[in-house]
This record gives sequence, C-alpha cells and structure tokens, in this order.
Amino acid sequence: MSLKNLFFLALQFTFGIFGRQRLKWSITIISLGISVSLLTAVEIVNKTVIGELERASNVFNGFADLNIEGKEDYFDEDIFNKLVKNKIELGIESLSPVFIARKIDLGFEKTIQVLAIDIFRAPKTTPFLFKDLQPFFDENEKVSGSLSLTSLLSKDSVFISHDLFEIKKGKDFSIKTKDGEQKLEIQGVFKDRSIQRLLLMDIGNAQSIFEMEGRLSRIDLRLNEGTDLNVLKKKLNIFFIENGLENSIRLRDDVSRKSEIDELSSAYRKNLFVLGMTSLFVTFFLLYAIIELSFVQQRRDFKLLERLGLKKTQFFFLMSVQTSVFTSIGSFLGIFLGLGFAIFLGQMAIGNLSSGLIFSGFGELKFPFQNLIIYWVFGVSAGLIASALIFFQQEIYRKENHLKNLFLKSKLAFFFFLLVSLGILYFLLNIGPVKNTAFGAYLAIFFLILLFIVLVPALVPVLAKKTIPFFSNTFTKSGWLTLAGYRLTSENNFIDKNVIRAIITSFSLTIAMVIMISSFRDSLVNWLDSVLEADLYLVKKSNIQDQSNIHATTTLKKISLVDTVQEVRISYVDVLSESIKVPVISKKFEHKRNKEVLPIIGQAFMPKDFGEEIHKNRVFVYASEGFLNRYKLKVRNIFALNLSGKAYEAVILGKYRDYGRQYGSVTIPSSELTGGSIQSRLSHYAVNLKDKSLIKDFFKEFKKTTLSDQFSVTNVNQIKQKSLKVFDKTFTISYFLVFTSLFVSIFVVICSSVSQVEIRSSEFRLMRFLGQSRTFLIKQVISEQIMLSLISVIFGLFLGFIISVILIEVVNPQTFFWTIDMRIPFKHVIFMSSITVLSILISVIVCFSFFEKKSSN
Amino acid sequence: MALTSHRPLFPRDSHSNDDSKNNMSKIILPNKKFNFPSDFGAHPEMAIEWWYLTGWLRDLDNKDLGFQITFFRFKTGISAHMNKSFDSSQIIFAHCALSLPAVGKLISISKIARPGLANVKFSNKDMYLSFENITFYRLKETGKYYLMVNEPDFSLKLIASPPSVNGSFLQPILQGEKGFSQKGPDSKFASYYYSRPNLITKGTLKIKKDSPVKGIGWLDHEWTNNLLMKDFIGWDWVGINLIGGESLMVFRLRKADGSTGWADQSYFDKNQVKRSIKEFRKEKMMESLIDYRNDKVIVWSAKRFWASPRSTAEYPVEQYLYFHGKKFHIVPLFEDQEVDATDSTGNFYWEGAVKLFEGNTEIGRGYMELTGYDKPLSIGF
Repeated sequence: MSLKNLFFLALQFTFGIFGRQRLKWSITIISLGISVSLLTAVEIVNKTVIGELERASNVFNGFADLNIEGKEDYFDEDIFNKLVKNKIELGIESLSPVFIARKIDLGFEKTIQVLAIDIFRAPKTTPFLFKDLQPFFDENEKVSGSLSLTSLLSKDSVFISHDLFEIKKGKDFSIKTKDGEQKLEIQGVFKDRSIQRLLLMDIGNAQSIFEMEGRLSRIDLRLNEGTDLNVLKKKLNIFFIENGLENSIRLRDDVSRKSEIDELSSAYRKNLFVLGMTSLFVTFFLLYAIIELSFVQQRRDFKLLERLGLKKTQFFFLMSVQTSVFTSIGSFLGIFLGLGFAIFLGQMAIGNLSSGLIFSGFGELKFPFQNLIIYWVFGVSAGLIASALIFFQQEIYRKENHLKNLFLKSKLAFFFFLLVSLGILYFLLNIGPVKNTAFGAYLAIFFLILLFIVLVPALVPVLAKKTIPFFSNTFTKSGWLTLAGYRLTSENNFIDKNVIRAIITSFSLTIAMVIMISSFRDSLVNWLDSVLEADLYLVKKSNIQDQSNIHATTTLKKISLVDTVQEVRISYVDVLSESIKVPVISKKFEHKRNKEVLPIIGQAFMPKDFGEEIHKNRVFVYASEGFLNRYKLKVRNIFALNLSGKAYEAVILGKYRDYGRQYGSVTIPSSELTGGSIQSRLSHYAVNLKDKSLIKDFFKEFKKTTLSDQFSVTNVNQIKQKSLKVFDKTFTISYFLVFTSLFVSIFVVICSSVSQVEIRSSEFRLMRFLGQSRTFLIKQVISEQIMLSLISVIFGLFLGFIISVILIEVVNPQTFFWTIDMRIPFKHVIFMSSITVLSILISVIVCFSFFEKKSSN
Repeated sequence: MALTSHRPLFPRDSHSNDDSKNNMSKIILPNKKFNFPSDFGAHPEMAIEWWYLTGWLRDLDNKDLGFQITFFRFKTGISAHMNKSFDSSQIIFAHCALSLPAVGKLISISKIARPGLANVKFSNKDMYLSFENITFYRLKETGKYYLMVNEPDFSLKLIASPPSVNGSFLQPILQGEKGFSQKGPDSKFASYYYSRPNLITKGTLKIKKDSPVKGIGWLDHEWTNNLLMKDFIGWDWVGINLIGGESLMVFRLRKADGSTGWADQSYFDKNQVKRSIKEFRKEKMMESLIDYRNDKVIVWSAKRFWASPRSTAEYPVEQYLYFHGKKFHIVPLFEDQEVDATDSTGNFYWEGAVKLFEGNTEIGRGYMELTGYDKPLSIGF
C-alpha cells in the first residue's frame, strides 16, 4: 500500500472511529485542550508580564544608559554637582537628577509612586519618558492641546499614569504637604498603560512637598557617543571611592535592570510553568487510557486489516495518524482557549492574581508564537508517545510481568530495585537549584510518579492475592464482593491499571499542592503572629526627613495610652555586588530576648558564646533563612557587612523566618551599632498600648496630633487580614491548576467507566442470563470501584505526601529561599479524597445505568 | 541682539500666574540711568535678558574661526520657593557655538536649567554667569571678561579686554537712545541695550589639541519686559567690528510678508563716540558718490539663500546692505552656521561669523543673526 493510500485509509479510519467513539475522543480533545490552554495562558501571561515589567521599569528609568542610585534610598545632591564637574573625564553627555517618593497615599485603595524629574535636564538624558506623555486635558478631561512641560513647574501640576486617570474621573487629587493639603492639577497622562500608579512631578516641587530638599533618589546618565559602558562603570566606581561615596551609591544599567526583573519574577514564572506542565502530564494519562481503550475496541478492525496484509509499521502509522488528528485538534483548541484565557486574565483579573506582588497590570498582550507552536507540538507529542507506548505494550507488559515476577520471586531484587530508586531520588534531590529553579526536585517528583505508576498497578494484583484470603469469610458470604475482589487480582486488566495510574498521578499532585499551600498559609499565620508583637504599627505615608523622627517618638510617648514606642529602621546594603539590595533592620532589643522579638528557627546563640572574639568592629546579627540560603551562609558564620561606610564583621547568632522579603534580611539590635552612625530609613514605629487601653481611644488621641497626616496606623488584625488576602490572591492561579488536575483525573475515570461498561457488556449480559440480579451487578461494580479507587487514593495520598515534602523542603528553599512548616490539612485531604471516590462511584453508576437502559432497549 | 523663541516647552499662553502677566505688561521707559557694574549683572525682575559674546579668532595655524556664547535668563512668573536647588522663578539657557570652516558647520552646545544645582547661577551685582562647565564673568578688578567652556566637543578659555584709551577701558556703548532700544513703532516694545565692541580677545581653544587663539569680540547685553510686537516674526541683526576700530550695528524686524517693520542702526567711532550713519559713509566713501536721499533707511537685500537640511528654513546668508545709495556686502564665513536649539529655546536660527565688504574691500568682521526663518518667533514664558 502506498503511503498516500495508507494516509487516506488512516484518515477514513479516524473519522470512522470518531463516529463510533464520539464521547471518548471529545473528552480527550477537551482535556488536552484544557491542559494546553493552561500552558498557553501561562506563557502569554508570563511573556506579557515580563514585557510589561521591563517596559514599565525602563520607562520609570527613562531608558537611561545608566542609573546611579542611592543604596539607602536617598543621597545628597552634591553628588550630582560633582559628576557634572567631571562629566568630560567620565565620558558623560548629560545627567538628570531624579527624586522618587514611594508609597504615597492619595486616598486610593493602593498607594502610588511619585517620580519627580528635572523637566529641563530629563528631555536630553531620558527623552523616552516624554514620548509617552499625552498633553493637557480640556474641561471634559479629554486629551487636547500641546505638551507643555513647563506647566509642571507650577507646584500643583502633575502628570499621571493612565490607571490614575481612570480613577480620577470626576474626583480631585490632593497630596498632603507640610502646609496642608495641596490640590493637584492634572496636566496630562502617560499613554503607556504598563506604567501604573505613577505621578510625575517636577523635582523641585516634590523635594519641597516631601521636605527632602537637597536629596536625590537617582541620577540618570546618557553617555557620550563612543563611551564604553563598562569602562565608565569602572571610572565611576573609582570616582565614588575617591569621593567617599562608594557606600551610598550603586550603578544600574539596562542589563542589571533586566536581570533584576528576571530574578524577581523567575520563581513565580517558573513555578507557573511547572504547574502547567503538571497538568499536561496528568492529561497524558487520560490520553494513554483513552487511546488504549479505543485500540482495544478496534481490535476486530485491526485483525481484518492484518488479514488484508497491513504490516506492523503500517499499523503504527495508522494509530499515529488517528491519535495525531485528535490531539492536533485538542492542542489547537488549547491554544485558542489559552489565548482567550489570557485575554480574560488581562482584562479582568490579572492585577489581582499576584496581588501586585509580581505584577500589577497588563497592557498589550504579547503572543510568543514560537512558544505556542512548541506547546501545540507538546500536546500532539503526548498523544504520539501514548500511541507508541500502547503499540509496544506487549513488550512493556512482558517486561512489567518480568519485573513483577522478579519482585515476587526475589525480595532481594525488589529491595535492590527500591535501593537504586532511592539512590536516584537522593541524587536528584541534591542537584540543587539551576538558575533559581529547583530542577532536580522537579525531576525527582517526575521520577517518583513514574515509579508509582509502574509499580503500583503491578503490585495491586499481588497484594490483592495476598490480602483477599484473609477476608475469605466475608467475601464468600457476598458473591458480588468475591467477584469484585478477584477482579483486583487480574494481572492483565488494563482498564483498571489505567484508572490506578490516572488517579495516583492526578490525586497525588492535587494533594501535594493542597498540603503545600495550606502549610504555607499556616506558616504565614504563625509567622505573622510572632512578628507582630506590638498592638499598633505606624507606617510613614510619605518620605519624612529623619529629623522628624525624634518629634514623632516624643509625640507618641505623650499620648497617655501609649506604653512603649519602638522605632524600626532599615538600611539597604549590597552583598556580593548583586543587584538585589538586602535590607538591614535595626531594632532596639537585647540578645537574650531574641526569640521574643524574632521568629527564630532552631538554635540561637548569644554573643558570649563568641567571648574571646569580641572586638569593636564585630557586630552580632540575626539573618533570615532567605539571606542565609542566598549567600550560602550558616548560623555562627561571619560575613562582611558594610554599613554607611563602616565595615563590620557580622556574626550570625540565629536564623529567623522572613516571608516579607524573598531575598532575605538581616536584623541587628540597635545597641550593636556604636555611635548609631549608620544611615538608615525609618521603616515603622511599633506601639504598645498600656493594659486595658482601647485602640479606638488611641485613634482619638492620635488624630489630635500632627502625626496623623504623616503616618498611617494599622493594628495587628488588619495586617494579618491584608497579608492573607495577598497570599490567597497570589495563589489563585495555583488553586485553579489544582482543580484542573482533579478535573482531568475525574475525566479519566469517566472515560474508563464508559469503556469498562461497554467492554464488559457481554460479561454483564452473561451474569444476568445466569440469574444474577441487577442489584447484584450494581453491588459488584460499586465494590470493584470502591476498592480500586480506595487503593488508588491511598497510594495517591502517600505519593502526594512525599511530593509535598519535596515541594516544602526542597523546592521552596531553592526557589523562594525560605522554608515552611509542614501541616497536613486533614479536613481538606479527607474532603478531596471523598470527592474523588464519590465522583468515581457516581460516574460508574451513571455509566452502568446507561448500559442497563441500552441493553434492555 | 540675540534670540529666544517659542518651543513646545514654553507656549506663550502656558502656565503663567498673574505676577508674570503683570511683569510682562510693565513697559520699560527711556532715559534710564545705567548703573555699572550692577547693570553688567542680571536684572531678575525683568522678563527676558541675555548676554551675548561673539567674535572672530585666529588659531596657531593662522586659520580664522568664529565663536559665540549666549546666556539667556527668563523670568517664569512662578514665585521663587525655598528649594534653592531648583529655583523655578528663573530659567537659564546657555548656547555656545564654534564656526569652523574646516568642519563646515557649527559645533554647538545648548543647555537649559533652573538656577541652583550644578553650578547654574547668575549674579545681579556684576556680570557672573555659570552653567555647569561654562562660566562667563567680568572681573571688577581688571574690567575684563573671562569665558571658560569645558564641554565634550571642545573647551575654550578666553579673556576679552575692552578697548582702552590712555590706559583706561572705554565704557560700554549705549544702543538706541542712550541705551533705550526701541523694537517697533510702539515705544512699549523696547529693551535696555548696551554693547562692548572691539573686545581684544585671547585664550586657548582645545578641540583635539590645545591651540592659542586671539581675535576681536563683541558683547551685547539686553533686557526687557516686552520685546517683540505681534506683527513681527523675526529679525536680521548684524554687529561688525570695523577694521579701523569703529563699530557698526544694524538690525531690522521683519513682518510675515518679509517686509521690514522696524529697523535701527548705530555707528560708533574708535573712541566709542556715537556718530550718525552719514558720518560712516563720509569716512568710508568717496564724496562724489554721496547720496543723502535715503538718509534714514537701510535696505536689506538678500544676495544668496541657503536652505538648511535640518530645519528646511531658507536663510539669506549673504546680504547686501544699502544705505545712502551705497552697497555693502555681508559674506558668511561659511553657509551652514545654523544653530539647532530645539532642545532649549525650541527653534533653529542662523548665527554666524560674517565679513563686511565695501566693493571688494573687507571693511570689518562680526556676527550676523537671522531668526524666525524656520517658524515665527514668539518670545515669552
């Protein structure tokens, strides 16, 4: 038969099969579609978000050739003067000063950022910033007129991002200043929607409003043509050292900005991708099960074709074409569903999905066509691999039986096999992260699942044979139970094997994710409980000069209800010259109280344990596990800590948990810093009220003070609620994937049940002919399914537990740099297990009734 | 005379408060008593002001080149606030250009900022102007002007000494009527204007290597509240240091149809005594050719236009000046001396070194300014 004829025969065969097995193949197409759609949506969201992040970051940085930033947020503007003076020698064409005020409360739900520029210098240095500005609004707030940057010189003039423009409609914007409330006049809007919650102001006005005259956040540089960026960076570093500025300044260029974005979002992106792949993996079992069922039902056709002279390879071709047609349609459907899903996310909910942790907005969707084609190929390949596996199933079964026999006959061989498997697992789990992805851990999970789906279906008949005799009395009393029990002992029941495989895979992954997420949530709650030690927290609404801190502490202490006021300060340091700044938190506490103040994990040491080594440049600190993981440090290690130009040897006394900072933090008792010389930024005030004092009474008193304009006050419950809300929103997409996985698993069971009833129709007819009642048959089928699903669920639970341990103990520290305490959410687990068993039963009963109706007709 | 203009950054009807409107409407009056050295310095209460030093230099290889440095000061009308680093009540522009025939176009710098950060400042006590790495000032003790430009493309250090008689520097010459230079038929439009021609200039120019330079310069300083009438779209201005030590300044304000709406001129002898334009003729021309019929009118006539590839403006870079029936010929050092100030004052203009010929005889060298050829000028904030 020519290839052309074979191809047409295959197509005809495929359409014929679809006519006979519509439900099965439709479910396959839909399930594959859902899995591919998840991958597609995740990919589009990732690409778009990263693109948006990069763009927003670049616009925010004005696409400058180089940014000079203060390590501790603000630096003296005299640096700008010095740079201008030396710009010829440095090879700089132009410079522009920037002032940034963060977390400014304009009375919206979310705080905003103020980007303040020098409107005269910025157009030369960062012209791109102005390409996105749309000019004046007329009275109806429509865009009109021509752009006038000098309009920004007026104290009340601002440009706003598009999202603020949407919020603004019909409302007045005002900002609190030292002189009272300043109403803002909107001069224009940023066209680019990736820029969000941003207010553009003149630098002179911003410095005055926030009482930060003489302070800058950033200097943007444009280089002379021919200036080598790396050479300039070296020169600047020398320049900073010569001017004693090396500890207050750092450089950021396009490459470091990109890598920072990549680094910040990589854990989130990679984990989403892995979850998408997991869903495809689960669907693979559905494909496998359905293709196997379908081929079994086509045996007669195949026999006929074999008689007509079809060769083995031609059979394989026939099967491949058949599978490819359906999986191609499924993958196509998936791509389009994914596009729709991504658009939906973009338009409706994306801002909430990560709760602004990773990204806050979504402009134009980016379609990475190349990757979408790859995902389409993934989908089709899953079908082809399944076909190939089934085609060579005899060989596989033979090996499986061989393996099984080997295990049964030789316990030594079984233990050797287990030992080798454990060895492989150990090796994979110790590979370590590759570019912040727990590559080895993911491989280990994959290996474990493979191990289970190979071993469990082979072990079930063996275990059944050994177990059933113990219950022989019970089994003999009820004939239907005997039949159901002995079905489990059947070694060649491929439908049951597929059900076991599908349930184990999907259920274990579902359970693992549920355990991980609830463990994380519990750990977060515990962490919040231990971190939030005070009654109230005062956080700056805007940037306040350090001088006002003394005033704030004094004012707070004057409130009669206040017992203690604790000032928490943060300074940011570069460790190993990485782009991420590590916060160093200084609080007032004694080492002996470390466990009360910090959520310490494990043993914490005291300075006296390092007795003879104490000297004036040595400080005793506590480091978060994120910090320790990132810099490969351990408790009792010593590292160099450079704070405001003063070099310290920092001894790590203990490890604490800090979910608030993915890349870690260092906490230092303020008494350790002799002379209190470090430049730092006020983070917040922790206020404890006197016994029996009511928070509402404090608020009354607080509102009377001048601080009420500068600080926002939150109580412990508000912080907890907000944190958990953020957490739940962040994991929304994970919950979605958990349910998809479970959904696909139930699909597998439904398909298997449908096929089972069809395939076993003659068996059931014979039973009825022999006089067995319908009830007997229903009881038999239900018992079979209960046993099958219980066994699968138990193994699934076991596997899920192991996977969750890997996710919690290996994946989390390697990707997020923190650990969580494992908590098994028994209620959730029981609920999920019941749902799975129940849905299996319902699907079997429905199929059985359907079959009964069909046969009686 | 020097240029300021309209740009998107500064629309005429843009944000200006009542204070600025009041300032703009405050007319300046004739018969001002100039008070030096404070009048060398800035007048921040006035809306617009500029200092303008131009000249010809000769380098070590005996090659001629032109230079120009201009500082503009604008009062924005926004009241000065406490932030001294960004004083928005004033804006400073600095333009600096070299006319090098070998390059065939200008090497220019233009900057804009508020006084405060990065050494951007001016003084109202004497002339002291600085903008980042450009400093231009007069030293009271010596009476000389000092210019230092240190930019990526070139650096220039000059000392400009006014001409002296019997060991004393000559005083600035007051243009117009005793320094009151009317800029249109309506006397509300005028400026206070003095010049310092024939400045003996020497110093160092570094483009690729240091080269001593010397030559003759011309300084203008002008300030006003109301400069340009609505009908006028630009001007042609020329200031020439004549070979005999005299100086000639001629300008006209053009209407949209190209006709002259207002013109003025001045001629000072080598002792800086003002002479009538008739006397300029007498000294330089044969008596037989004297024709007094067009005594008060100087006619500008374009001999050759040059079209800029950047702005597409067509500038009359070579012009004839007719007065008293005699023809004088303005010839540029080279054609492309267009200044691209789109990133500061917002426009293009032609500002270049020129020679003045009478017949085939070169009688002086100076600078010519041609504005409003790319688009109509609109001055103000």
